[in-house]
Amino acid sequence: MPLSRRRVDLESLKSIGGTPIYSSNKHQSAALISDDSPIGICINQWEITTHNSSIGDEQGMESLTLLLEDLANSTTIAKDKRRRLCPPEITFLAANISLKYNTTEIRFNATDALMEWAEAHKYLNYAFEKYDDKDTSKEYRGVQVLQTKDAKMWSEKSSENNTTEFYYDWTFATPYAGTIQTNMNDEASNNTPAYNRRIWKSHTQSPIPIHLLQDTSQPILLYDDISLFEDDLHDNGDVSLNIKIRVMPTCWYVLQRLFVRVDHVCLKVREVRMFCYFGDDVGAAALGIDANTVFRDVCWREASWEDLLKLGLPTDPARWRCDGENVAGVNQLILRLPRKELPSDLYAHSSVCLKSYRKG
Amino acid sequence: MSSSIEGEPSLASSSQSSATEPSLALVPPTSTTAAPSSTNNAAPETSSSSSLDEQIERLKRCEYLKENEVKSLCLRAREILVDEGNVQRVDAPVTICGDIHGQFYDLVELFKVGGECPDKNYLFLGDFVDRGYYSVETFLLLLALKVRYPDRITLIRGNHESRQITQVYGFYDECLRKYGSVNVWRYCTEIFDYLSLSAIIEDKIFTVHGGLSPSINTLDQIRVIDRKQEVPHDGAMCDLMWSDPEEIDGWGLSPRGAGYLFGGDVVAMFNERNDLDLIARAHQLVMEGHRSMFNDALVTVWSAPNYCYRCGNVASILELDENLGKSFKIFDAAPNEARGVPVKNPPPDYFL
Repeated sequence: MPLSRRRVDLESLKSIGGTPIYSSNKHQSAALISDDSPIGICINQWEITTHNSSIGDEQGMESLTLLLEDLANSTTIAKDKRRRLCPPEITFLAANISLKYNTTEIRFNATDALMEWAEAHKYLNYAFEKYDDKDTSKEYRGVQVLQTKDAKMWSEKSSENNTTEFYYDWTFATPYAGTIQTNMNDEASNNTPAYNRRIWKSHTQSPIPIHLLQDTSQPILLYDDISLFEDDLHDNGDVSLNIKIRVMPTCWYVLQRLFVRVDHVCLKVREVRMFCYFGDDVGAAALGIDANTVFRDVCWREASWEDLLKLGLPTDPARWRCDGENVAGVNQLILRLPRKELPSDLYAHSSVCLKSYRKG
Repeated sequence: MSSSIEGEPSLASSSQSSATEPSLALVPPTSTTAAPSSTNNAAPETSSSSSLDEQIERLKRCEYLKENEVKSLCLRAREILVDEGNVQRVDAPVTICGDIHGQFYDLVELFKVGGECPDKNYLFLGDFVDRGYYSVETFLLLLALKVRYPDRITLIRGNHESRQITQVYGFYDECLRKYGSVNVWRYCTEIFDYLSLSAIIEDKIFTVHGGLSPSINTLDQIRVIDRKQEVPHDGAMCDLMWSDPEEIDGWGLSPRGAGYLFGGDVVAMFNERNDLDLIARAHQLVMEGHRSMFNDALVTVWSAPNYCYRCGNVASILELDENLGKSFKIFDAAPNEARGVPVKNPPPDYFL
């Protein structure tokens, strides 16, 4: 089993009137967690839970592949012309973070993240077509079909060997920025990626009060660090989608990071920060924000290997490995990568007011 | 295309290596006939077997060898490996193992489940190093067993047994960390060039790390490859270590633009042409430890449980009896306490 990094500070939680949540499904809990520790907490009407999981089994991955292929192909396409794709080799299918407030759920999981990735393929050119620079159909919402540094050498073979129906973004560079569902009880009504995008209202600058998050005198009541998917890109690099959460007595905060490294080709880092303040209107006003509102910042950074050279950043792939002792160094390096323009339907700073989705 | 790194001493240019560039090329090469290795179970030099046995005992406790011990072990291994064919012949009964990836304590678990070498005959399909914390100990233990019991263990090359890949995915850094220099990495990567590319069990089961190649129709075409080189970026030798089976017709190019996918019809034709019953390969992580494809014409064996210490998958080994009857043994990861992985979680941090 993957090692759970979940931490619940029961003492602090109790002192501020919060309660722990334990798994109601004993059978499932045995598979997902190794002990009887809580899976989340209730605080200020929020129900926040986290789950680690194993990678998907054969059946789970097959169903996921079918779901994704349906999203990647329009319904009118002939069966033998359908685009095929493969999910990441390491997909933690049941891993998730869920934050519930009345009838609204904000969640992060691999299936939702990959659905947005798959959906973008409908707008990408199908096969190894020759592009010119003006051709916009080679990238849609940050999803594009890259080639490895060896691909040029192989391009002659592709014509010899009649290529393949597998032509997709094998770096899994999803534009996913979390899922928000405002009416949990009505699955069909609004659980679509498109709805998810429309609901966010744009801001000109980040309303997230950083100084509140920098206040280390606040205890962390719930903490977790969860991997949604990983892939070594067949040893051409690495991709990982990771989420961290911390819940304090005054707020919750989530950081999602997608990291893509295609060795000698490019780096992509996509960060989503989500924040919600628990206090009332008066407290919120003091912070210059609205109460009962979820705030989201999205930041994409990208650099080609040539850009790294120009920027004086390391070009040795090992220096960009996001593991072990390397992590702190990579975090610093990432800040020096140039920002990339976001898709028009994804805002750098935005919010959703939850008041209108209260029940009753 | 050559992928050797600058300043890397190769055996081909061994006469130029200086004292500062360690190389194994200090002993004249032995005969290079492609005949199968001798039928002795034990290494010929009985005088040094005791020290070898002692080294194996140390390695089994996950204690790594001294640099000069690694050097002499690699020299002896080279003498054995140089005589092996590109399609090494292996007798049944034999136990086939897939990727290990430096998960030393899980390799110990594997031997517990499958039986010790030399009591059991083993065939490892490559990817001994990278990813896990103990690539050095893992590879050296397997290599020491190879030298001690050359006919009871067969090691073939995976795509991670490469200078270029190991510099990115862990083995290089691990050698540097554990020895303070990259000499051990150099000795080991030179041995990688000598590892066989594939094996054939009783003329009926073909085993390889990755899969088939469009430039290979017969086993004889593999036999004539000059394997003593870094894994190339294309061509037959590259394909054998990199390609993957897929539910397609014929050959496909991977979406990455390099690397092949091969379908069930390709496997059926290859098996028929070479009078084979089965292709056994590794290279791809499978949650269940093994996966059969194409009406059991091909099987993937994966032997790294809880891959990267977080995937939660089981591992398997494929046991073949003297009649080539198949049975899988499934095993789980060694308990965290036993495998020396830091169990303690880092404390919650005030990330921004």
